[in-house]
Amino acid sequence: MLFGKRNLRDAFERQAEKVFPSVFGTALRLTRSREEAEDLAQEAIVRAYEAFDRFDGSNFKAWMLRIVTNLYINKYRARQRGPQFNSLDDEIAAEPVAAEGEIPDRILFDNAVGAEVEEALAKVPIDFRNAVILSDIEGMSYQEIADATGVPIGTVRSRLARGRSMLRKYLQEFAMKEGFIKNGGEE
Amino acid sequence: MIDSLDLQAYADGELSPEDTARVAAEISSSPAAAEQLENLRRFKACLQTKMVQHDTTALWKSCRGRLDELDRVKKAEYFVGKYAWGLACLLFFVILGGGLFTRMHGGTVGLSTVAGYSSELFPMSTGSAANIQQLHLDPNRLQVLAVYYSDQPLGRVFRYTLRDQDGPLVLVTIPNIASVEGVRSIGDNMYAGEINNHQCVTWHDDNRQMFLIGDRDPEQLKDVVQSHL
Repeated sequence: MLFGKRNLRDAFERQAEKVFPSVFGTALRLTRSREEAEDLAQEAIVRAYEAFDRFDGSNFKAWMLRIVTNLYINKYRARQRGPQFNSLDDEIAAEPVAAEGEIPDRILFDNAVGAEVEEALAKVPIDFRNAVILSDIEGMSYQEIADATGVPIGTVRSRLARGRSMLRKYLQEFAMKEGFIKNGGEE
Repeated sequence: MIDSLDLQAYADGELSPEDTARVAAEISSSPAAAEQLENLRRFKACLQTKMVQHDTTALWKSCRGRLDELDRVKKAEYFVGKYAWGLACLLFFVILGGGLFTRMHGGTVGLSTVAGYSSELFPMSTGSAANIQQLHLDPNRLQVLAVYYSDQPLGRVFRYTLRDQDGPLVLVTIPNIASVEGVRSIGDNMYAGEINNHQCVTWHDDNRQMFLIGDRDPEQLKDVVQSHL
């Protein structure tokens, strides 16, 4: 039995170590606190190890991120500061409207740096932020996100659209505020 | 006009083959839709390539430490679980063995038990002169009026009816006793208690526990023991 247990531990570590940066990155983007993110990531690893014998062998990263998300929802959501948009109508996806003076996406995204994107992402409300993190940063499918967050695929689609729109808006505001991109054109 | 959610799902590769073909056809006929798709792809590329990468080496090491701890706990639980029945049986035999050992090499007696032996109503056989000689008492000071015995699990219990100048006394001897309950120390390795409203002193002598019972205070009984027995 002990030899089998060692094999299980080795197999788990091999897979977990590869995805751990994603686990921690997701935890950090969800909690917006390094200390809480470290606790969340460690807890997720422990929970995953305890449940590893029940893992079906499909997509380990998606399985891990599902654990992180569920842990976050259960433990940390109540303590998070900042606005919660739970009552918003998730069926309506806001289309970014090209208003006068808006920076073209080509310029906005090509010139944005990581720290600015992270800061803008932190401002997006948690439900929409979560969808963007799991889809655009971690590459999960709609079904995987639906399983991880416990909502229907339709809700995932609308939250993702809303989250992207908000993120773009906050990036735009940041870029114009910092003045490194002049209003409506290149510097 | 193309549905924005369909366009996003197209960019994410989440449409069915039929819907993918439909949306692709719409995009090819609409420059605005093509531009929206291009912006969406830029957005995704920005998030995939520009997010801050964190050094997680130290944190991963800490996680491994927790996994080691978990493995140690699981190992201990496995051992206990696998051998639980064996451990339980072992414990049972230890208790049984301890009980037998105590029974064979000295048990505990309470004063209520001694009260039974001291009562004339307790069925006992009549002893012999040899039993009196075992006492090594001073016959000038302490008279033996009767001696009885009974064979109990711990050994042969004797009851002596005695008399001295101050009145009657009862002496009970019980073998193989390690301790007596319900008594207090009165010094000189002697203990005192109460049996049926009479005072009692007890002491250990030659593998027998001796109980002297009489209608007098413990210090007086102690004097009798030290001078006559």
